[in-house]
Amino acid sequence: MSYHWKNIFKESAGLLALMGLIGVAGGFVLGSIEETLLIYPILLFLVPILNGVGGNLGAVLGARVSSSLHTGRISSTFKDEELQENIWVMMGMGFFVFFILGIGVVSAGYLFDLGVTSLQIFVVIIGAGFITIFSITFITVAVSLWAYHKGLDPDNIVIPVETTLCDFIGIVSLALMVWLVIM
Amino acid sequence: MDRKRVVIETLPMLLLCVLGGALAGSVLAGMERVLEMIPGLIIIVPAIIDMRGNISTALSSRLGSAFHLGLLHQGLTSDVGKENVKGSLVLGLFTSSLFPVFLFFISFILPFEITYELLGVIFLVSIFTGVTSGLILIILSFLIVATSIKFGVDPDNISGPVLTTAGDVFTLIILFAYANLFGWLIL
Repeated sequence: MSYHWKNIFKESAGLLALMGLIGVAGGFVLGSIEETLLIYPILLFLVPILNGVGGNLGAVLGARVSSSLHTGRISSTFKDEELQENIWVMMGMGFFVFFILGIGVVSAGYLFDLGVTSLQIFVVIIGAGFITIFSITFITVAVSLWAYHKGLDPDNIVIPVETTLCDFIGIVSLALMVWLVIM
Repeated sequence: MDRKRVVIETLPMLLLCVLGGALAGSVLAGMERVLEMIPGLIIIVPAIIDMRGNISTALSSRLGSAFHLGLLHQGLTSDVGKENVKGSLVLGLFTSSLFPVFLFFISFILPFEITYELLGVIFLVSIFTGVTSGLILIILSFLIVATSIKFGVDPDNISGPVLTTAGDVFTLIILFAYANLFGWLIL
């Protein structure tokens, strides 16, 4: 493994440009549903948290899987036991964080008027959190293995792809849960 | 794989991120006025924030792999470190200059109008924010990787969450400052 800035640039530039384009498009989506979100400000508050926690879990998983692939600790298939253990631990932690967040927001609901019932907001957080965590774990591992098979450095690929997609999935799953539970 | 170690090292960081996310959300809420002054800026705000996170987390992920491969034994100032910094800086400059271009083209496709004056302001804000917060985050990446190695923590377990959370907050504050400055100078 050798690091030269030109290689880093070559492997990352095109992908980052594409992710930037998706990000700008995402900005338009967020702008267009902003008014719906503003009806319940608590939802606007949830957007960065959902995107952040999902993106971070994927980043840790991606960094771990990349390192393990580089050092040969895991083989590049979904069946690898060590890899599966990584996946379960990450999912477990993600669910735990959203459970705590759900309880925190419900408790805050007793102090402030959130505009929705605490059961509704709890179901929205847990539901959106689960959808986000589940999809992001799968995407992260799939992209890492794919990059490795293609002879690319997963370190350069997996986190940008995973965080960008997570921003989309976070907003979509939140919108979906709001539509199912509150609307 | 050491399950306990992953949970002990990562879980507190994830919970801390929830707080960081809430802080970033409040900074964004406080930017309402400047976002109204520079219409179009809001569209590229998420992209700018994400890009800083993408570049710095990829950097720390590479440094983490380099550490696990034993390539960092000469320290972070070795060639491995220098090349990684150069790569990240060039990527930052490249991507920051792209956003206003994307915005320009999107304004043709979608019902959204933008003046050249506004595009100029957004270009300046994007470049200056990109370089300033890029530098801060590169330094932070090295600090986190070096500190975690020093304390025997796996850098892979913590650098991602810390960088994206710190990145969101730093980038938003820097963006806020430059948007005010260039908006005030030009508009």
